[in-house]
Amino acid sequence: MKKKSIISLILGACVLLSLPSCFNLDEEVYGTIPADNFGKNEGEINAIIGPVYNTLKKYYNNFQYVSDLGGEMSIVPTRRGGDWWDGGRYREMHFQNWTNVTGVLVSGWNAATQSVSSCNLVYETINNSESLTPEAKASALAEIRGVRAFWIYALCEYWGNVPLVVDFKDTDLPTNKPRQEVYNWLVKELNEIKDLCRSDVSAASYGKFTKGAAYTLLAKIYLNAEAWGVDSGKWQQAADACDVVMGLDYVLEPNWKTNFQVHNESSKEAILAACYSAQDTQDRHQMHYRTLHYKDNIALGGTWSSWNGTCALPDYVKRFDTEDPRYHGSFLLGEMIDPATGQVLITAHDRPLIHTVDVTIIPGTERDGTVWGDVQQEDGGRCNKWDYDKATLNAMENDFHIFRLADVYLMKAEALVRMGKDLGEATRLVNAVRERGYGHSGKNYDSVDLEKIQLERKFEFAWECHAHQDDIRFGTFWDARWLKESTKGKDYLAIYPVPLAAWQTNQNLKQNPGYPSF
Amino acid sequence: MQRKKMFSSFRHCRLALLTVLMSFSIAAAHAQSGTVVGKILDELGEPIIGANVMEKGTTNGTVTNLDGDFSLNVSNTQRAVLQISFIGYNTVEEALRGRGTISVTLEPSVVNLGEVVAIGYGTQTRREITGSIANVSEEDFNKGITRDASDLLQGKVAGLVITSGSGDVSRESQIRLRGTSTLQNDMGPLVVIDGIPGGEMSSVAPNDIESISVLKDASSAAIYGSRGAGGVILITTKRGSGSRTQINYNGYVSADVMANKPKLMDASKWREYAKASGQDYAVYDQYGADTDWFDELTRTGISQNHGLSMSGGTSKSNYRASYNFLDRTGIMRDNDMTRHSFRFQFQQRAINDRLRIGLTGSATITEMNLPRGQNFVLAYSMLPVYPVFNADGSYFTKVNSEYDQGNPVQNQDLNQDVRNNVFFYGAGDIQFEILQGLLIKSTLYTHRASNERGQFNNSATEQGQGDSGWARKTSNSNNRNLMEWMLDYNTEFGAEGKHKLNAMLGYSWEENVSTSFYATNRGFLVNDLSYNSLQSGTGLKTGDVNSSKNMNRMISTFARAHYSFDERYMVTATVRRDGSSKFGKNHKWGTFPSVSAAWGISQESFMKDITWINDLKLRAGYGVTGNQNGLGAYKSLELYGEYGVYYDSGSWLTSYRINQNANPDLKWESTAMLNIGLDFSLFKGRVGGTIEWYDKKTSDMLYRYQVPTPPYVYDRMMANVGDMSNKGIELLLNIDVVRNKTFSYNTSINLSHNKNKITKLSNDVYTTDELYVGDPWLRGGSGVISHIVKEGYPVGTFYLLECNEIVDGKYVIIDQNEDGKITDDDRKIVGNAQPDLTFGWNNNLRWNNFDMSLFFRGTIGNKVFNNPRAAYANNTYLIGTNALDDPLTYTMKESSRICSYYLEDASHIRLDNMSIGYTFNTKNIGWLDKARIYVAGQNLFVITGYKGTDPEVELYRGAATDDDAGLSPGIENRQFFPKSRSFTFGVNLTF
Repeated sequence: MKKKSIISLILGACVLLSLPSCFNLDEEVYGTIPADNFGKNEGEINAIIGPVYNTLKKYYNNFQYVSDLGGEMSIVPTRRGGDWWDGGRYREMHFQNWTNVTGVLVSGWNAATQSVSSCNLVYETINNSESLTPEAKASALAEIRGVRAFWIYALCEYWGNVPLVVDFKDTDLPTNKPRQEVYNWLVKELNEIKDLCRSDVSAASYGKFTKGAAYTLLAKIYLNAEAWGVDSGKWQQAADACDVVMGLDYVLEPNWKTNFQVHNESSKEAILAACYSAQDTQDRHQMHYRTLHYKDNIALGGTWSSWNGTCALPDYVKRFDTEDPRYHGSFLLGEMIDPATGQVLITAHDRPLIHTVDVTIIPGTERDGTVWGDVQQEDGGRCNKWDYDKATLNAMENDFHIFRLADVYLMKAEALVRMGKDLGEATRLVNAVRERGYGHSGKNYDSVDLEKIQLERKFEFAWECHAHQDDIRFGTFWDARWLKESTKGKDYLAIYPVPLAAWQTNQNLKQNPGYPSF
Repeated sequence: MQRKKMFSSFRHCRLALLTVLMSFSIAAAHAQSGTVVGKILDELGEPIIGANVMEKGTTNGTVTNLDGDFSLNVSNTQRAVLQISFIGYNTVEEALRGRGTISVTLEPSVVNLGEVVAIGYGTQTRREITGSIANVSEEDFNKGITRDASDLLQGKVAGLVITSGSGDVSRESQIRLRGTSTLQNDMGPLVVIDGIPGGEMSSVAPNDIESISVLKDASSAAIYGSRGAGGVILITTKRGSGSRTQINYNGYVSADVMANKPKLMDASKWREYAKASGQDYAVYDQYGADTDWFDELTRTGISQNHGLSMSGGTSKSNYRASYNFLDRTGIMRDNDMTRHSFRFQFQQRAINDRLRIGLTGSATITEMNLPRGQNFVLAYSMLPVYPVFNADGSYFTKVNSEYDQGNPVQNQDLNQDVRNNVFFYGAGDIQFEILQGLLIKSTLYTHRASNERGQFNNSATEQGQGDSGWARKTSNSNNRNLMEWMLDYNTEFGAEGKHKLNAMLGYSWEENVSTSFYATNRGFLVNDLSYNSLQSGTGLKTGDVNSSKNMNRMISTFARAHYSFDERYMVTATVRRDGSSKFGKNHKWGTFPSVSAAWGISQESFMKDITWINDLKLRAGYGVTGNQNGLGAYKSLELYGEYGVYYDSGSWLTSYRINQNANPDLKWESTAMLNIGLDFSLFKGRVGGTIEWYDKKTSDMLYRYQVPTPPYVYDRMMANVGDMSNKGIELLLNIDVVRNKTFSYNTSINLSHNKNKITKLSNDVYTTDELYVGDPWLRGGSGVISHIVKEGYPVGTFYLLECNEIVDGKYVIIDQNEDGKITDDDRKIVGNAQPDLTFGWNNNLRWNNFDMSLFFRGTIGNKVFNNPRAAYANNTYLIGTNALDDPLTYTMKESSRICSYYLEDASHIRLDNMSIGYTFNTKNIGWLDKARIYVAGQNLFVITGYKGTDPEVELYRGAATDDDAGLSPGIENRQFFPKSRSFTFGVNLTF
């Protein structure tokens, strides 16, 4: 009996342990979808491509600092008491003594390189998909390549020598490619896709990478090739690309502000747009937080509470003609009135809330033996470009137009002037933008030169991530301004250092010339 | 016939074995029942009154009478073993071997060597244990207000650090055993309740806990395999006894007051400052107020606890049922907790005691109001000359849109954060003795944990105004099913049973399914609906409605063998093989072995003459345990998840993306530990203790390592890369200083020293040199980190600009690289948050019917970053914002900076617990068994040089599952909830 019992016990155990269900460790997935099961129809394919376009939101969110703090446009001063000191990162951006750990630049690098990777992943997915017609697939792939080319262009502009990884299956740790090689690739890539992209200018093409975007990007690359030190005399190619864009259905919006209104997707001037939604919770448009004073919302009728951060560089504001509607259209200046009392609002430092053009260091607050110190809370002109919707909570609805037609006009004018060709056409193009800005032709130029074109770009494109590129191309990037001393002779500053954090994960990366090597 | 029927109905795999088991019922042997009588004596030969005499493995037992005599019926006089125990004496096991009369002499000892200790899938007596296991039983638990097992244990076990850095009564303690051993989601030790692994500490009321075992070394914890790396806490609940029927009432009321608060400028100091600095303060000071905002936010909290239990049984069965009600009112006005705990246990034996069936049910219902840390930030900033209420009785809201300002009392009154937790579990176990010494046991367990949370920010308040009112409703649930099978074999052989062998084999299967749901809205027209009408809001955003579900499954087999010879030589070996669905497809299974041995030196013949040594045992063990807490479900898979919206032809559509860098090579992280210990009991058991040394090495450490983009899509990836080391030494000393019939004084001290070091963060694929973590905060300090995680350094290493003095109101920051500039490159490693020494010191005194205990605990050598001082001991935001009444406030001439100036030594000693009790003489009251009253005080004082509120701070602020939680310990945050000092009066009655 005993023996039998033991045997049956062992048998029972064996039966139990041999049942596959007793050793099954498969995961059942509920809230997410295994990669193999997704992308089976057009709707799903579009949903996969969606994140490619969403990367463009990261451009404005990060490069408004990367571009406009490094060049002549904006600053983030340290406010009385220490707000926005943040370890000195904004001082480094203004003084141009950035390092490989400067926070603003690390964020920019990460945004750009991750966006390239995202594009590569989606490209790979779509390329392998069997759910699309050949035409639909070709068009989708061209769009993805276009957005990826934009990001590689951004890397080329700001860091010059960058990893050039365009195949998701390539998992080797990349090294930096020389800027020349990156430029060559960009030219080739854009020439390949420029006519594969859709050419319509419609509600359906808004927010997409179109033929107009491809040619505008190409024009930018040609126009900056000399400043990048990778090519010369590409002015005609730049002008030609601009001509193609101007031949499409874009129009210079009669009202300049149409480009910046809350629902600016109606603008027919927009060529490439980062589309923001006030309902979104990822990569939001938060300029209202960044720039406005803690109490500006009261004057503007909103309920949000802002951060009192970035403001315009005084030198930049002072270049404006105060009669130019774009002056107040770009900067929030003057007394901030409490609508309830009709009185000027008072700050927590017991000072009237008046945004001045000048931003003045409070004597005695200078830090670490530099001239950088604290400024009053209310100092500085705030961004007033995108209309503030009173109903805004923590995200603005206004889209950001990365490329718009006015830029193409001014690029072509610049290319013509640089070639010494058809100054009349150049003048006509600049005046078109200027007249639209002023609302009348009274301030039109008789003729234009490079200086006038650069100035016009400053009037037109405040807060639009043009400062870095334009100032370098026109040679004013190194000039002294506000607290910054001249950095003339330090040509290497035109490209930023590769972040230490990037090198720590990939030691094949090399530091850019002029900066201490890793 | 009967059996056939059963066979046909049991189709399920988990019940097949049960049937096999049932078939043995036929083989029941005939037993010799009988009565045994005996006498229990102490070391002087005096009778011991009230000693417990139990038949081992049953609920059958009795107590000795006034003459030390007992009489007990046992089912088998040949096989029965009696366990005889009395407080202060070693428990003795006496095998009857057919005897009808016995006489046993007990030896006094501060360490009960005969005590039965839970060891994980079994029990052992203290004498037999080969690993490092600490056991704390009811008489040594902390007194006063206790919420769960961690409150009972705090400071009692060397190497077990329980941090209660927050005064939030709804917040659980943070537990680390023998240092931090992982970078990711360190959940602390695995909690095992009555043998069920993965329990919730809060599901057992302190009144229901009999004893708590802590498995400290890997040779003990390896039986829990891939979950044992953080150590294991085994909670054993009270059970009914067949020998007596009892009703027990345990109740207390407590008063909590704020122990310490930041010292801010009051109205007169503020006015003085304003005058002295020549500023016109009329615009602020128009209300005639002198408000202490910390006082306004706090109150005296009154708490009460009532526990009622009944237990009893027969020689065949036992039961215990209990109900406990805890109502805890926090010192913060918006913080409280009530908890109802129900528990019943029932056990019955049949078939000549060979079959045992047990059932356990437990329900815990908790309601909490969670406090908001932001209110304390406001309390630091709000001027003392601002009132709470305007003259017309309305809330003062004038500065609600000012940065870091607003009326915190209004926030407390009008906003809500309510959480309801419900936790049910049921367990059943069947045990059958197949042959003498061979048991088969099956356990089935299921639980459901669910919680609901409602959050509301009123649009009139500082917190709600930005959204025009904000509300969220959340609900989560977790279902868990567990099945275990075990075979257990016990035998003795040789003369007098000198050879003892125990072998165990087990299988376990468990599945967890979790779901979550939340919905948020904002823009409410009225505030009356709180979070109960989300649909009335107008500000629904993408991602405001969210639901998810996930599962994981774990399957294990495990075995243990223990052999001992004459209590001289003992060896234990265990092995566990764990498979988890969370692991990558290339590493689904892992094996965790261990071996340990002990040498009972004092049992050797050459020690017989050394009379001052009563017991001496040397132990050594080595084992490998794992950790998979760092791993959420599905981390090894490539999955599409919803991610925001994209714009397409005028509408916004949902976009999907692959949501992580999938890693098919993911596996458990493994921790190997070598432990050597010496247990001793000296001078007739009056001095006892343990010295232990351990060397713990974690490898394949799970973490979100940095990876390059491209080629990766995301810059972080879950992987097994790094190594970490913890080495330490622990000492426990327990001394009976005085011991006689009327007075006794016992003191015990535990010391632990742990040295933590990250030894590796990189491999060929992942190259992470260092990670920057920690977010101290002050205005202008965004993105400034406080800690570095770096090879060669411990977790908790502070990495800051070095500033040792402030001269003429300015920081003197050391330019480490001497480049003439102060930049991030000048940061330096300036200290560590981990202490050199952690200690607990307990004193128990008894005089006649009075008893008293004093418990101190503390640390030596740890640093804390005094964030409030960095942020608020300055004048740069005066006079519009308040500041600390601190010498720096009056002398600073520049804005505050995060630097090492604020890093302070947080060594401290705390009188954590003190109680005085009186036990009534109930010998002449027939209906009353025991009556005791006591008063207790908790957190009575702290001696420290630390200038902040309290030197004991939380390891992390949010949840243990947050990214990088626990990697930046040692920051006193601005949102620091002040701790309370508690005074308790309690009654304990047993009928």
